[in-house]
Amino acid sequence: MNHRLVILISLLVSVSCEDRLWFSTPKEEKVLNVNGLLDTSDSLHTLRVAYATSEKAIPAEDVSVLCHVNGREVPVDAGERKGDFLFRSELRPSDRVSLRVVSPGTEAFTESVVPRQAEIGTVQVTRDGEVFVCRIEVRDIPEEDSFYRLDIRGRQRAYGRQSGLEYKEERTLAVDPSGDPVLGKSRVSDRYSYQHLEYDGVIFSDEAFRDGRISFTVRVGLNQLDEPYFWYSLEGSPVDYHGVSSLVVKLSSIPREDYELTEYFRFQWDDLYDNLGFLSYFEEEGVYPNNVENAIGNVFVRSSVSQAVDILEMDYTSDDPGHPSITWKVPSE
Amino acid sequence: MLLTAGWTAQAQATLLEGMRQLEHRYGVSFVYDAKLPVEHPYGGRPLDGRKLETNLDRLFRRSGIEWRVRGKSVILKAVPRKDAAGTAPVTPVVLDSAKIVDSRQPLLSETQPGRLDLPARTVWKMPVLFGERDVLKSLQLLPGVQPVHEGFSGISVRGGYADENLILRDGIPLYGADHMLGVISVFMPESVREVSLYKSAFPARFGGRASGVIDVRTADGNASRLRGSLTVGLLTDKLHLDGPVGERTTFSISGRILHTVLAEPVLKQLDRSTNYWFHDLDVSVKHRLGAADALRLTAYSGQDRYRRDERSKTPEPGAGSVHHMAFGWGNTLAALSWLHEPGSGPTGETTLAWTKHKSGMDLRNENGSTAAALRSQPSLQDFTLRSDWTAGRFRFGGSYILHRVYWGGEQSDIRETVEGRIVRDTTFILAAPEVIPLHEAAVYGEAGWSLSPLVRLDAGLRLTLYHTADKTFAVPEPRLSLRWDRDSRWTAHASYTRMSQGLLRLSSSMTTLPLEPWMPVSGARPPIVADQWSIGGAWHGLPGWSFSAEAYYKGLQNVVDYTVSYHTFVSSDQWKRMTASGQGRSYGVELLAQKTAGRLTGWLGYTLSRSDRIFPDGRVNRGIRYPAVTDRRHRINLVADYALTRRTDFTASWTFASGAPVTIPSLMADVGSEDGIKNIRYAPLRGNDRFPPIHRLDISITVNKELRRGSRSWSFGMYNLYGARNPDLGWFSSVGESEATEKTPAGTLYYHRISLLRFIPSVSFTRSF
Repeated sequence: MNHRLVILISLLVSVSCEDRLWFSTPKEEKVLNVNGLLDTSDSLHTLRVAYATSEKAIPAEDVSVLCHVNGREVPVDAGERKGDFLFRSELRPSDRVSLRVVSPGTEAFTESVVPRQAEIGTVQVTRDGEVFVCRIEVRDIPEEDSFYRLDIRGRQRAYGRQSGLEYKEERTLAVDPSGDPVLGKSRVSDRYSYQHLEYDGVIFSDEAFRDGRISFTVRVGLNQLDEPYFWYSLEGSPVDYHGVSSLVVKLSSIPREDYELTEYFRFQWDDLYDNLGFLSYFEEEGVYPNNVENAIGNVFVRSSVSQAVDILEMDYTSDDPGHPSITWKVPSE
Repeated sequence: MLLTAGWTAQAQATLLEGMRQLEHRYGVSFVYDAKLPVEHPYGGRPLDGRKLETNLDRLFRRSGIEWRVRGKSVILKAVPRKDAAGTAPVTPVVLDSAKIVDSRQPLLSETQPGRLDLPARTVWKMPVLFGERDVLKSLQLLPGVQPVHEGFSGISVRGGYADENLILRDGIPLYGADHMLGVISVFMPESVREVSLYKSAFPARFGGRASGVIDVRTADGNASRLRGSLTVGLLTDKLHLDGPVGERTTFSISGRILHTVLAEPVLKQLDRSTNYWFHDLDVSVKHRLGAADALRLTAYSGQDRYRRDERSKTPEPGAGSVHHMAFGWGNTLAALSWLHEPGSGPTGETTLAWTKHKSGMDLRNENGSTAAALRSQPSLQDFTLRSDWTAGRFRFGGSYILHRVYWGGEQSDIRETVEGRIVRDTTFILAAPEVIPLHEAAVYGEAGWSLSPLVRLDAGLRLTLYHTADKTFAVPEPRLSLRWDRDSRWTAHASYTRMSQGLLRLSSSMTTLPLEPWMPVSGARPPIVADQWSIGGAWHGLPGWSFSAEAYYKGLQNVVDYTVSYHTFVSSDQWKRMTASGQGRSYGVELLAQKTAGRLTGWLGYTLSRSDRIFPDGRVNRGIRYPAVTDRRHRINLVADYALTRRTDFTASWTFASGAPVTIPSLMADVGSEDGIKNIRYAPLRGNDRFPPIHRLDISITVNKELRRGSRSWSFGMYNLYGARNPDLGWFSSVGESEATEKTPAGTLYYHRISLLRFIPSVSFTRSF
């Protein structure tokens, strides 16, 4: 009897089992992997070409890239980094950009039309304690579903009155759209520091202002402009410098697929998932958008427009070398 | 005018309609062979007698059917041929079934095309997981029906998704009808009178969902004496009581708790880490206002709770970790119905109801100097007014439901401290709280006509309006069903129905979470419209057996899917942007062989089916057709119930099903977006592989003993008797560098399979009194 009991208990304890289930999905050796992000705000464009394999993406060196803008061939050069291919072109809305990647045995092709440009209306910046409050008017591209990205960049310039030397620095700032009724429906607010925000730009669609205009309000932390890197290069230099800091509002119209992919990735790589990792158990493998024929990847083109607002001026004088005098160019709230 | 028409048409009512009337009035249920001619016209006196027996006598006189009342059941059987000679009604039905009727009744009833009735008795016999008799689990053994996730949640009817089923509790829709992630449904067999499943030929009175209707009717309580039952099982304890209160009022009350609910106060005191529990409370009170009218008040409350707390302490301050996880979900329902059952003339039921489906989650992780928290509380409330009337062959009525979806309220915090100073405090508003209303109104009319003694046509029309903040949709839904009784052995039927759905819910292909919110239709996401054609036939030529086959094609418009893949927490705007509307189709053949009499009864069901989706705008799977989550090529269910002795039943069921589709990435690739290039696992197409088939054998032995007062019943069972290693739970992972082999190099994806439900024994004891 005891013997039977032991067998029964042993059986029950061992009922559940874990093992690995392998799938016999056919594996492809390697597939061309082409990605690019072209922007009208820059004349230099980069295409990244790799081979996707079962282990990793390997930069492709045995390929050639042909580029045509509105049917005209544009020279393409290999970049310094393996797999990078560069070309120069002043892209304008409605331009047609064709890219052909030729590798031994296969050829990938993609064609994009540069989207129409949205308009930035008035931009008002005020200062509220430690943050800048930016009210930005956006005019929608009429008669189409449009998708946008809004970036705010900090531009800092300085020049020596006596030396004539000039310094310039520009970098993207993290913005907080949480107070805006449209942008802030699902965004991040950081009460202490803006440095930790993982994503800089805000993406949105024209759903709330189709064919019209809308004013967004976003906030930018003042501390992000505290220490421009060029300040360090000024040390030891003559102190008679004049500096101007500006906020540059950049509005880009972007393709729908780019918008959706960005939004998807922002969830996928979110801090939240890192910190509450169990959520990933419910995640499933997705099939990503792909706009390159015979290859994996996407070449997106965006159309951008910018507007700058000076926010402060700084003067370094020999009277007080360590502390510039600051003149605010924007009002306090 | 309709009322007058119904009154004069009374003479053309069917036996079945009379039976429904008596069910409502006396709280009885009918048990009968599918072959009995209950669809035949009834032209006798109005059923206005005071006693049940009087009305039964009127209803079945000269029908070729005899009846017997046993408790709350009325058992029908065909009058033996020699007695029925010359008395058979209208059609030349040869009641061979009389030969096969004995004390045992078939486990299933196919009373009309596209509909299967599951008597409460059958639910009690099915071998089930942990000994928990379950309505929805029993339905999964029928052809064309399957779980969305094997062993767990969701029912798929003919390839439909779990949210495409209309689950009605006494006519009121329920949401999330599961406990334990779908291991057990919220319906307690003790309070269930009858369950009807509609897969096609949907009557016009049903609407609001695209794929299936599960109509669960609860018992009103008997009028003769106080009765009840107490069940003690491995998982739950149940108590059921029903009986009269005075001369005019009856009640029924059922309660169920998971054992662990009792332990929660103690566990909390002891600071123990984990507990899960649920409870159900089901109350029904019926009060007769007079001979023709009654009021019925029903209420239901069921809640699930899960809590897990882990705490690790270290000597260094601030270096320990705390993990807290709490989930909860449940339904609350209250309904007041006015029943008008005069015995002759129009009968009707008007119901005012409120339902609430609520879920919530509270997560907190503290690890050294970093703390993360997440809170979520989506819910859905319905305010329902519906009225259904029957007048002779006509049924008509209408309903209005105000759905209030409480979306969002999901917020997360991440906080970092350095030497006690907060250096980061980030609030993620994952989904701002918002209330999204949906007004759903419908009117319908349906009727049945005998076109000839052998041919019956049922036709109906339902008009459903969905009104949202930005758009109103009107969906006309025609319903047609034609039945041809060639003779007593052969029947054939064909049907066309259109259904629509205004509330959608998307789940992960890996599991269905009760936290997933429902989303009303909108301008961007119009209602799902499902058009289903079906054709079938049945043969009853072999005494004690019945065979049926049905083929169907279902086309779906405006089905919704995620453009890339599932996400747990998104705002309603993001949900709309991250999903797309497309098309779907399901088609297949269902075969059912049923042994309806003798010591051995049961059925063998086989389903050959295909279900897929396509998004022509290319936003999902690049516009290429792909298998739906519910796509299974083959499914076999073999159910056998053998009467070992007069008191002892042995039941076994064997299930086999093709594996579910799964998306397997075969490459590592770069994918670029606005935020730069990400290295991802790349799957070329959705559903590019499949899980292995699942199969299992479940058995159960029930020993009943009639006692001087009531009865007692012992039930023993084993779920997955031979321990098939089905992928009950699991997750995807990839081979690390250190464990790579030539056959499985680093990065190879595999599914970490947990076969949880193997050799699961069960025992339960029920004492009825």
